[in-house]
Amino acid sequence: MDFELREIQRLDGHTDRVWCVAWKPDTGINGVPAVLASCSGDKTVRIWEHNSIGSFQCQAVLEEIHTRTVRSCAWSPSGKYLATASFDATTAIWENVGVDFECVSTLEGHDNEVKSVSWNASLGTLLATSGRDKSVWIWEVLPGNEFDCVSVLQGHTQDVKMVQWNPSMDTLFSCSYDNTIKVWVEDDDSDDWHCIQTLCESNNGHTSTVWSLAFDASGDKMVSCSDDLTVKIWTDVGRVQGSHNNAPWKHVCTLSGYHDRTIFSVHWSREGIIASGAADDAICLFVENNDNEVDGPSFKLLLKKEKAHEIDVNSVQWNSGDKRLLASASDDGTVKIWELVRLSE
Amino acid sequence: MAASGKEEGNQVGLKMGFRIGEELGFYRGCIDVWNAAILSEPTCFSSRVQKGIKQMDELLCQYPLSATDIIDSLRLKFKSVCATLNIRLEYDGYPKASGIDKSGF
Repeated sequence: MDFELREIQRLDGHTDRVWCVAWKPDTGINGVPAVLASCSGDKTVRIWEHNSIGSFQCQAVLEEIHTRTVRSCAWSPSGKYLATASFDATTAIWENVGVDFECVSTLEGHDNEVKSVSWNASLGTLLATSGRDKSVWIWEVLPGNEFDCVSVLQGHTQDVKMVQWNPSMDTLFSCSYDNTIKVWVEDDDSDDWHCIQTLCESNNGHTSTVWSLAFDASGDKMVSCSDDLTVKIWTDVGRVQGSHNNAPWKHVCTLSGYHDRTIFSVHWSREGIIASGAADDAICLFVENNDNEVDGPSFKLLLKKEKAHEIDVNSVQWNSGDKRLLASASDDGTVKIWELVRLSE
Repeated sequence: MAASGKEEGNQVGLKMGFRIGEELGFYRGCIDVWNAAILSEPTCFSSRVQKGIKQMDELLCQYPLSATDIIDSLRLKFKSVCATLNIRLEYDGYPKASGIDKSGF
């Protein structure tokens, strides 16, 4: 079966490299128009909406809050809030009312550049941030747009590139310039969190900076990508085997030879397609390979889109709606919307 | 040779000891001010903040048993309390990290 990643639209507007894209939850489905946020080195966030004539238009520009690069953005599960992490050492919380966005809170605490922000999936009651100061912060979302710092986690020995909550439980994952992925859980009863597992070279982990990680829909599987030019698949054996385990995540397989420059971003679609974006300007798509059950799960390349952008692809994200829409962001200053289409024989 | 090495070690030790003492003293001062505020107005801080202050106090009292761990924990607790109080207090006597090229993004 042949597939094509078809470019639907190129979104121009940012005046510097675009770092991250995030689809608003529950949009692009059941007649709700798809909405995308993108953030950039131009210090702004742009909100793009799929309009009635089928094209994406910039609906809002969020500016004048961040004074440096906006490195990452994330919607709360309800879509009511957008959190933005900036090199100005702050994380801003924007409330979406109709077509307007108002900055309702600014979280300060990191010593310097904030690199990533993530809401917990269950209720959006916790927010995690990470940054160049090697720390991971957990914030509790309180009524009245108040944010309490729950814990400051130190464990990584370098810049923490990304934080991501598991979609089915309040377990936090972080990846770093120190080549590792760390798994964090809350102690019973208190505000204290601790690292239960470190995925590093000695347990088949990455050998260079880990830039990004993502989960499949169930949260049982994780994908990570790295400067070591590989994509790695991990599985939660603790949960699959139904037993408590102090090293629950296990390496499944490594996908190598597909990108020849740093891989910056990976994302897992709801139906199981992994997208990766890299400094070789390409986007690759992978699917689980069911042909060979003997050697355990493996993944195969579905397609590689060469020259997806002029230069580095920094971020890829699937929309979880009706169509197989993928958004990508690049150092070329553009965002692209792609549709994965099956070619008829 | 040995004498000059000993003297050098002495100087480094004095300098390091002073630095640590200065930092611990800074935290002691913050805790005392916060505790004084709590004493006169018991509801001035949320229970989470009060717990954080108490934990800092306990860590300070444990010093110098397992000294390095305690300083690291103190620094983190202090950051967490300050962030929740939404105040910018900084003890900037210890060195910060630095980044390089795109790895810095």
